[in-house]
This record gives sequence, C-alpha cells and structure tokens, in this order.
Amino acid sequence: MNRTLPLLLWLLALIGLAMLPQLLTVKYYLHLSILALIWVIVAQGQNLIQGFTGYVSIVQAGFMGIGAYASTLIGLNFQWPLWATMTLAPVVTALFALATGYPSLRVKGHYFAIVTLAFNLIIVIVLVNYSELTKGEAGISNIPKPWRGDRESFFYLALTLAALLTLLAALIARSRVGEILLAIRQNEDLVAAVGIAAWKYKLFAFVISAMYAGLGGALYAHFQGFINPEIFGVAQSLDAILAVILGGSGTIAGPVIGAFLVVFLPEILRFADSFRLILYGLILVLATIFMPIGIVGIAKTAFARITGRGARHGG
Amino acid sequence: MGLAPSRAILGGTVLGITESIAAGFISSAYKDVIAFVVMILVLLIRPQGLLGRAP
Repeated sequence: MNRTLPLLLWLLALIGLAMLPQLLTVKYYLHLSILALIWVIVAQGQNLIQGFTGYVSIVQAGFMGIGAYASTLIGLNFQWPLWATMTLAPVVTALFALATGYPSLRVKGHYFAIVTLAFNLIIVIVLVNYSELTKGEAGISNIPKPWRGDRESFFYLALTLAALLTLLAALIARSRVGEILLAIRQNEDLVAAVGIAAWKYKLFAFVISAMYAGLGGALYAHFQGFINPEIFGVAQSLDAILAVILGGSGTIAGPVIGAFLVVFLPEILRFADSFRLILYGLILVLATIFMPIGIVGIAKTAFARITGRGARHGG
Repeated sequence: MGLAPSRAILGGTVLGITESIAAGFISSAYKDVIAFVVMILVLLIRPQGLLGRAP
C-alpha cells in the first residue's frame, strides 16, 4: 500500500468533519459529533496502551474523571481561566497515572486489567464520598463553557484537538518508542533480553494514555457543563476499550472510527425502542467475536486482496 | 491443588474481615476502597496468592 492513499483519506475525513456543522441541520447530531470527537481523544489514548503495548487497562474513564474534576475544581476554587485549567487537567491526570501505573504495570495480563479496574472503582468511590470537594453523587453543574457555550465553536475546538492528538499518536507509533511498544506487545521477555527497560516504555504509554483521557475528560466537563461520578464509571472504560477493538486496535484510524461508532450506534438503534441497549450489546458481542481485528483491519485485508499486495502492519 | 478450597476460604475471610475492620475503624464509606487496596497489594507483593507457590 503506498503512502499517499491513506494520507488522502485522512485529508478527506478531516475536510468532511470540518464541514459537518454546516451539513447537520439537527442540533442534536452536532452535540453527538462533539461527544464522538471527545471520545476520539479518549480512544486514541486507550489505543496507545491497549492496541500498541498490549496491556488492556480498564481505568480510562476514571482518568477522564480525574481530568474533568481537576479542570472544574481548579477553575471554580481558584478562578483560573479556562485554557489554564484545561492544560493543567492532563498534567494532574499524568501525576495520578504515574502513581497508579508504577505498581499496576508490575503485573501482567488479566492481573493488570483487574488492578486498573480496581483503580477505576476506587476513583469513583472517592469522587462519590469526598463530597466536601466534589459535591458527591449530585455532581457539579454550571461549569463554565468556552465562548459562551456556542456549539459550533466548541465543535471546532474538539476537532482541532482530536486531529492534533491523533497526529501525535501516529508520530509516537512511528517513532522508536512506538516500535518498542509494539515489541513489548509481541514479546516482552525478548525486549527485556535485548537490554531495553520495558517498564519505562510501558509506564510512558500508560501515562500518555492517561493524559489523553484527562484532556478528554476536561473537554467533556466544559462541553456538558455538568459532571457527576457516575459518568466516569467502569461502563465508560469498557466503551473506550470497545471503541479500540471495534475500530481496530493497534491502528491509528481504528480509534477514530470506533469512537464515532460507540457514540452513534446507541442513537441509530433508537428505532428499536426498549430493545435498543440489548441490540447494542448484541452487535458489540458479535462484532468482537467475528471481527477481532476491527473495521480498519478488515478494510486493510480487503484492500490488500483487491490490489493483490500484502497488507502492511500497523500504521 | 488439594488445598484450593481452603485457600478460597482464607481469601474470603481475609477480605471480609479487613473490610469490616476498615468499616468500623476507618470509614464505612471507604470500606470498598480498603478492600481494593488489599487486593492490589496482594497482587503486587504475592501475585501467586497468599498461599500459592511461585511458578
């Protein structure tokens, strides 16, 4: 596969997304598109640790919550401007990720998933019970919005950030660090055997993925104007994992497609009324069983079969 | 593996008693947090389990 075709597709997708506010007549779809763009950021982060490094972390929504609460609380308590709190949110999240990542990355496979799951549960419990600061279950409302809460401008803010962070993820994946992360996924013992300190790279991937989630969470808080602990529960972490698996883990386009699916699929299924979530779950189960390589993986294999050339790995 | 049921009993007892003690002495709201912390600590210090043998 040559390099110009993917680039062209990316450019087309970006132009298409940039025109979206003009094309969508229903405000609600614009609202969903913004949510999807926020999920693109979260899923790109999840992909770094899950897709490239091969460690399935179930704490992505918990880190979103830390970012969201950090940005909101700093803004409300210290009257910091919005851009400052939103830049600080990933930094705060990174500190938490350092503290939780160092111990959890000492265990592998299922144990890593369980430890991160426990961290997500802890984050939610603390957010609920530390109500002097977080206002507990009731949540925080009236969170300031950028530019008077205008949806179109927020869409472009989210689009810019999602595009830049996707580019950053692509750069990381193509760099030497990205190659080492892929090597860790394939054979961690071998990586250690050739003298590379695998834990440093794993921690790097974990912290960066948390920073993506933190920024996504901060964006979410300032977009919705309301947050409570429930939004950042394990169910949302599983959505992030599903977005990566559905789109295609270990690819750059995968999380983008997956994020839009995870946000739009439950809405498209509204025709099914009360069977909506059952149908949604069924589709997810079937998709995970029958296409574990994701949509991007299938598209790549199909493309390679048509052109008669071998599919390139990664990218 | 003959000891497996007794190990499960031990695990359940340790978790249950820690949770109750934590609820009584520290805070009932955070008792689940303590249980998770115990679980994380066991996974980190003895990933093979309290009575398990190292592989």
